Amino acid sequence: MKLVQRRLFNVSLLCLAFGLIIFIQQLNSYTLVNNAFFNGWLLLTLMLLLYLFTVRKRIVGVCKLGKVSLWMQAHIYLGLLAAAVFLLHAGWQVPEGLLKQFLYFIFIAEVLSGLLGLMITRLLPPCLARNGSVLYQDILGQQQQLAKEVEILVEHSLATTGSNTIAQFYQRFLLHFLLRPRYFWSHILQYRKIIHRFNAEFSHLQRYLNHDEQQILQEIQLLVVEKNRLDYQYAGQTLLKRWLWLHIPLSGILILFSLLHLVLVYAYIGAV
Amino acid sequence: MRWNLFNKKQQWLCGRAAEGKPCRGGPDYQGHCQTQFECQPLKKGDRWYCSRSTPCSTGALPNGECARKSGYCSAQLSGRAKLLQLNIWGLALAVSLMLFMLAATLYSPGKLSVSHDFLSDTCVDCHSTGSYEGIQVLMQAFQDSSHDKENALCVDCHQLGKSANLAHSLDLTQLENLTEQARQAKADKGHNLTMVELGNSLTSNNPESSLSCMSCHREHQGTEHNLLSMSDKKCQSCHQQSFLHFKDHPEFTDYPYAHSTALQFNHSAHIVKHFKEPSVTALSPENCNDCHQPDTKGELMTVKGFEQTCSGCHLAQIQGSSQAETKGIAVLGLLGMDVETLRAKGYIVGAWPEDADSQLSVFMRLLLAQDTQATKALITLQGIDTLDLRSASKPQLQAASDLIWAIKGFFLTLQKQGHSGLKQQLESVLARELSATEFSGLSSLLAPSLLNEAVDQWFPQLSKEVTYYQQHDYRAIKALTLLEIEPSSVDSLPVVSKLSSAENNDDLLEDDTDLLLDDDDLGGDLLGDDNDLLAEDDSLLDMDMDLEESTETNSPLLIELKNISAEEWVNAGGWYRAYDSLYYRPSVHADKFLKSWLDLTVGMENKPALQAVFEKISAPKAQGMCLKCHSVQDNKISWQAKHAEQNVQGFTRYAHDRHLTMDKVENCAMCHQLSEFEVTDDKPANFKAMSKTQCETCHNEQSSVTESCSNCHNYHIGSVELKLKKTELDIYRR
Repeated sequence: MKLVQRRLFNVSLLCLAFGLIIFIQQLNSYTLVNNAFFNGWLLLTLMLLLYLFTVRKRIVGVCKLGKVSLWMQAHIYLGLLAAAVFLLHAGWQVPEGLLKQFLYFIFIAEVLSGLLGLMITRLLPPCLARNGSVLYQDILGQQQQLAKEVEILVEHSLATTGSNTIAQFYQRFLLHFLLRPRYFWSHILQYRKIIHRFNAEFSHLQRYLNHDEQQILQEIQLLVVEKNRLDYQYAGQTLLKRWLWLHIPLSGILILFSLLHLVLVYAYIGAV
Repeated sequence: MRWNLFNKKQQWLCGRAAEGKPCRGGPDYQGHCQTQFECQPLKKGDRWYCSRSTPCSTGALPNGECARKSGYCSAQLSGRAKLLQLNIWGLALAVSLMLFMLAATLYSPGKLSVSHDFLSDTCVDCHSTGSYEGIQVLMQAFQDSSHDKENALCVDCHQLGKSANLAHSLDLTQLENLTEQARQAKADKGHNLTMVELGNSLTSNNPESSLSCMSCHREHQGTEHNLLSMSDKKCQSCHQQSFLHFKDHPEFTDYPYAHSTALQFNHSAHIVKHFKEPSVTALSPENCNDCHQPDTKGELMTVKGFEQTCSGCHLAQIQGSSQAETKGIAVLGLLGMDVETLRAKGYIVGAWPEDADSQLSVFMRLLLAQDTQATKALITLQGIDTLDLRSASKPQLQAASDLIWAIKGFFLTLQKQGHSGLKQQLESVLARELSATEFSGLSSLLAPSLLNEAVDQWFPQLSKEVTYYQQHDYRAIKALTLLEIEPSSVDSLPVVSKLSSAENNDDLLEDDTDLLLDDDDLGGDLLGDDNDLLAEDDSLLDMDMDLEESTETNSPLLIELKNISAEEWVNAGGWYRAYDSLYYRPSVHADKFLKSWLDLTVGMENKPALQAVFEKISAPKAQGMCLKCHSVQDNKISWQAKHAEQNVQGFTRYAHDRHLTMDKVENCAMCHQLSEFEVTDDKPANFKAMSKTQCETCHNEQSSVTESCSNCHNYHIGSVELKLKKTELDIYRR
């Protein structure tokens, strides 16, 4: 099944499921049954199913449970369905009560982090690939290597030209940049002004240098561009890993508080 | 299958990984760098040696460690480890927060509505679970719970009658009847109910099952939440005649005239005929508002008071202006009796007014009903003309005699005991006690002077007569009545008469004997006084004669005064005596005497004496003409026109005030159209039943005017009130 067909199928299935839920809600509204029970239990079931994805990721080597990619697809669409059911359950408004409000915002944060993750995992990898892929664990090493190479070039310029112009430039602009990955959010937001600024500085400096110094500066510039590329890779790949640091702990907290909410509802069921 | 669980070894990463040169072994489980020595010395004998192919210059330390530390790094937590730590901290924080919320009772699902906000401090008032704290609350989730407990707490304050937990607060019988009617209506009209039936198939709507108050009234939805709002769909969970718009609402049947009105007022006759008569035109109302006004809720159109509406034309009728006969009601009195025949046939009857010619009033029959002898006598004399007993049989004559003595005994009791005596007689007949207010109305403060004067005139020697009769001293009675009875005649009196009379009046006899002795002792003196008074009366009579003569010639005013009868004299209402009876004349609307007697006697079909009184005073032409307008409903007289009862609501409501201020509603006639000219029991108001078309003009799907069920219908029918706390007066005594 092609990607477009698969997405069409999944979206249709999602719409069908949501339509069915709305239909059952409509039927319920002709009874004295409280719809919050129906959509509340449905929501909890969906949340537990979504959490099962985390469990599935821990189980390896079993094909019978289905591929993780299939689970991922199910996780995404069930997540969207859960978000819709959640809005029905909450009545399309911020609820009353501290606990319910807490649950409401945790759920919203969970959904937003999920959507953010979805967006990141769909948009970033092609961009990173276009930029030249590097293994995440190699990035820091490569950056250190680049920093050493730049340092050697600077020392070489001092030794061969007797001028400290490049060294001062290194000291002023490059040392801080080369020490560790920089400009995380600028790279995430695809903000290219950083490298343009560096390039402008290099161009500005070039007119004051002799031929040898210019050659050294060009080599340094190439290394800075490479460092910037690695920064971009680092930022992108870090985000690809770290968004789960928000999504997964929140899901645990959400399920815990949902269970508390459920228990409290049943503790006061006589009044419901 | 294997679990890719977190491996402790994966927890730490080599610190040199950041330089792109991680060591092969990596850190240990505790995160210690394992590659801090350049080699692993070998032990040969009791000494350690460098294990490299080219041993280093420093060699191994005595403890076996390499003397050259190199490549030392600080291990770093792996990404998975950081995520795990984050999860653990997150959950720990969440659990702490949960425990804090439970301990501090911060789990309230929301603010209460304005009407309940005074209960915000405690859960106990509304929740049976509310008395538990902390973890105990959670345990309640696993206990059997029923909404009945919670309902009981609601009903503790909101009193909705005995069937509060059932639909519409109606009892089961009513619900079953209504359900059956609805089923019939549904079958007849064949509505498409797919959605409703499907919805109802999800639940069991057993009319016998109790409903949770929270099915409709959802609390904790914020202060602004309207607890009374109810969707039409909720109505249709039971009412399966499904419709979305008012145009599909079932047609009204006799609305709003399905039930007879409290006041029977012929609108057609009055509006079309009476109000046009020249004699009453000035008094006639000009518009509906002259007689009707909305109640305080603005819903019910109430009728203004009698004085503001009907009295102009109808007060005179109450006062008896249209009465062809007497304007008063004969209450206490005698009956015409052929005493001559009785005396001639040897019956001792004592004094009896010769000119008494009335029938015994229904009131007297009622008051004598407690006297077995009188009751028997009345039965025996049924259909007999007591004014002519010449052809009467012996039992009938005996009955006539017994009745005479029973009446005398009654009047003597009344004379001696006053209102208390009358009250006792009535209580004896009714077999229940009368309240002071009730009796006050029934007696309407009958004056002793009036009664004594009447009795003295009818039976001048009543006390003595009755006493002698009870002592069987017929000779004395004869003497008192100045009739001569042969001793043989007394002996020949029927034994039954003697015994029965004696039995009935034993009590009186005992009391009267002493009095009789006293009277005898004082008799001479009293007689002397009477004679003097008589002499004076004669002189007064002479004076009256003189006055009569003089006024005929000189003073027309005095002539007019002379002609005023007792009946006319009391035209402001009250008691008066005429001939052989004491009458009561009603003169104002809501006359206390008539109202009390009608209330006492209505719905007493199984008690003929009371029923007779009711028939007498409730007749269309009866004095006061109360029941000409006031209807009898459920054995009660509707004294008041329909009015909004406090804390009681019906199934339907209509905001007259809001509608009558709208431009679209021109006048009352838009909805209330006159119909038949004649008043009938089922259509007492003479208006045509309303059609829903009149409402549809505005309440339709095109307009913005609501079509909601609850706009016109109340859910709770009957009593809806708050239970007020009772403050024991002991509080003030402490």
